[in-house]
Amino acid sequence: MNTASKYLTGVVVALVVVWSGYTIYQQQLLPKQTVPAGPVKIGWIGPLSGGAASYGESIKRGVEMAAKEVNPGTVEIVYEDTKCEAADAVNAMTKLVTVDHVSAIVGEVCSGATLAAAPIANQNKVVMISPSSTSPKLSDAGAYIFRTIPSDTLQGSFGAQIVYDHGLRKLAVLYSNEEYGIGFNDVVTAKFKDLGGEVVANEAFGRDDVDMRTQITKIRDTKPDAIYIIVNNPDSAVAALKQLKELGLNAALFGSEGLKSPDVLKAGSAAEGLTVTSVSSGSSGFVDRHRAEYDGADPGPFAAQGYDAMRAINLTILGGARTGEEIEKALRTTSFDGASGHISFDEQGDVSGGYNVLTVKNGAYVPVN
Amino acid sequence: MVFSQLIANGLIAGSIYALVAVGFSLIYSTNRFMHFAHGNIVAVGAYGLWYGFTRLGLPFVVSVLFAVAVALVSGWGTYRFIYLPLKRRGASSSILLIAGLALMFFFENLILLIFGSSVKTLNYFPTVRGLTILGATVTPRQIGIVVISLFFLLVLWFVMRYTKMGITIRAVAGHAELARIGGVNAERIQELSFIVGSAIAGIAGVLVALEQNSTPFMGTALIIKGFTGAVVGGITSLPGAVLGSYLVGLVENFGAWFLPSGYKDAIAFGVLVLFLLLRPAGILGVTKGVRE
Repeated sequence: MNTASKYLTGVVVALVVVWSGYTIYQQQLLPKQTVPAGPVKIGWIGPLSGGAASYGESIKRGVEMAAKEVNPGTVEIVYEDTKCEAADAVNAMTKLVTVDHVSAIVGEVCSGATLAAAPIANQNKVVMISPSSTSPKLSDAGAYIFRTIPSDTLQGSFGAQIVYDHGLRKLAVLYSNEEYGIGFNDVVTAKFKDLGGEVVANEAFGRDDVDMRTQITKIRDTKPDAIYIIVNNPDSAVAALKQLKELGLNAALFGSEGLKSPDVLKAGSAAEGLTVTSVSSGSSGFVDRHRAEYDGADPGPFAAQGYDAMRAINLTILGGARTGEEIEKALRTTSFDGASGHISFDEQGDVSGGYNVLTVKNGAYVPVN
Repeated sequence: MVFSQLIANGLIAGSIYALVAVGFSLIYSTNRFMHFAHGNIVAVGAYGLWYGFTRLGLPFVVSVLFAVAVALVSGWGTYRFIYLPLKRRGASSSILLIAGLALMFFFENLILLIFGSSVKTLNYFPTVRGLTILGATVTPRQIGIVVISLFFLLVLWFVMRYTKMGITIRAVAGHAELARIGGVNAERIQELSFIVGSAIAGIAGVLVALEQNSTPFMGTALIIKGFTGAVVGGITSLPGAVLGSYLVGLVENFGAWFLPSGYKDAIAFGVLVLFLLLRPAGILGVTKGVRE
């Protein structure tokens, strides 16, 4: 290498360093979140495969219905499948935030996955509205986390009250061993004890388990009057109901809203008499529109809540919000009558709401007053 | 009463694990690689029964044969179209293991794509309150599962022990190279064990579909338990695989009685780790003979 080429190399290196420094500096000068003109990008995360896929599919339908209500080109939705698993939810969230640059997200579906993805939403100032995560922990998950379904603090207390009001005093809880089941179990157990009842067993099973004979054997040994089943996977719910019947338990059966699904009725005679608490499955207007849109199919679990989550985002965008920060601010004052009831978010991003009580009779859910 | 119920729970679970484990062991012993998609072949059998019975409306017995046939063809297909071409290109057993993992995801998602994620129950036998036998509550269907499972395990043992085919398979399992020198077409026997193993997986699939609802992901859960049973029993020994599977079924159910039931799987895998540490060859495994 002669002097001239050494000199030239030096100049080139210096130029590259200065230029890259300048571009990095310029990028830092840009506002953190720039949303280009064109559709506002919205992410969707939830299970489209795995044990909870049926929830994901039904929510997706609700979201699609709401997205069709605004002019084409206003929003663009990017769907990511997470199997309801925390690790997949984090990956999907990171991808949506860094690659797709979404402003808001509808999801996650399962509480554990939502809680795992929440810090990324908060750090990047991206709004997350869950249509179905009911864990009490979600209330404190951060400013950017909202939901269109009431917390289990409400449902668990309500459920425990129903059992107590039936005159039953010895309760056993069979719950899935993840964020949703654990949080719900804590609430039901505490509330039932407060009421003056006795909780004789708390048995857990893995989220996708279909063999619960030993857990049920343990429950049977404590001779409960009532059994509260908490699960958000229809496969596990069907297995639990069948095995409860086969092992000859004579207790009254109660279930969380995860057991309100057409799939659970496939347990046949084993599901008879099951009483479930359920959030609204949609106003009659929503049900009619859903039927018209999807070949006569009734809305599945959380379809109405999914619709409301997307509708809330739509309203903020129509009001001029484009970035996550703007949507978050606008949501604080958003209030409308949605498919699942009146929607307005409190300081923690929660909605209030009532529950329906339904009992399985002749293979169908029948409302109870 | 609780004791006998736990024994019953363990035997029912163990019977299904055992059918999965023997097929896995049979394929492993002749081929010397981990066919992790074996559990998914069980799932194919379960969905085959569901499809044949509820969708095609076939008589039950015909549906069962259909299910076993579908499983057999799928398992055979993995060998013919995936493993064999890879082997011919000189793939090591770790490459084949990775191919097996890929097949596992392939089958899970293929089933999901074709059948969707809704609950698939057969309800061929009505869900009834079980009979009380020696203090344990079991349904006739569950007794059937244990008996049918034991029957096929015995048939397999007999075939392996006394027939020419069984002896040849064992020869290849014992030392493929020596068997080849002795005039045995080892590749043919390896293929044959895939066929037999997959047919057994089909039978396991039928029993699982009758007892539980089928899910696209059931195969992975089953192979984890079947694999644990096979390793605990001594991976190249078929009677070992059966013993190991029953041990896993019993231990996880008894363990869940004494410990919080959320640890059920952890208990099963704790046993696996213990065996790997203390008796790597398993209950009936031998440490002499072929080594990789």
